[in-house]
Amino acid sequence: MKRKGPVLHNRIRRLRFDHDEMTQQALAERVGVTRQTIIALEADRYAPSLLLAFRIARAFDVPVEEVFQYEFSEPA
Amino acid sequence: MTVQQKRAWLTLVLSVASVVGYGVLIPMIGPYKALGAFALLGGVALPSILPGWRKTVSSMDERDLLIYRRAQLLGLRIFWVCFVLGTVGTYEVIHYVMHKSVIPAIYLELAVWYAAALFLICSSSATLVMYGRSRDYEA
Repeated sequence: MKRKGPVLHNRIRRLRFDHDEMTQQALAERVGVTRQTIIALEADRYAPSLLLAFRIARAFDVPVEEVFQYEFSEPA
Repeated sequence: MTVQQKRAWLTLVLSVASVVGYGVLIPMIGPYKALGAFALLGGVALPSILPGWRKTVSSMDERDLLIYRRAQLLGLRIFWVCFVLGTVGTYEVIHYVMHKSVIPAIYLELAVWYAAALFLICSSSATLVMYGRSRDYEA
């Protein structure tokens, strides 16, 4: 079922594999969160703070919009 | 399982055990002495004292804090609704059903313990549910 309203998608899983198959734990330590938070982010079940979003983008050395995509679908 | 989840489990188990323990002890030692079962709730503070558990707060990231705040708020809301209904309902029952004009002192003490247990059960359950939501996606 497609979610209504604003959704924040991300490419963290893809970017991890592009960066020498970086583990979730390694990324978590790099950006200062727990592995569970990375898991929740990859599953689109948690919208990070702006600060964390920038820290993740910096960990992959890419602009933040390459990691996170904002999508808004109008409620039916 | 994260440290926060372990702490929530400990809180939930102790809270439920204290409420069940009180019910079990009433027929054996009476309603006043049975209140001692709520001493189990003191164990909820153990993680803040024991050295191995102290990192609970310091290891919280922003998602942990968000879950913690939401769980506390949910616990508080449920407690408040039950508190209001309980306060009004207790008086009605005592006055109109039991035909008494005074509330026994033990009811007040029980209300405090049940309120604490209810708050802890609701907030710890909410914490476990919120952490459990993303469990299926672990890679």
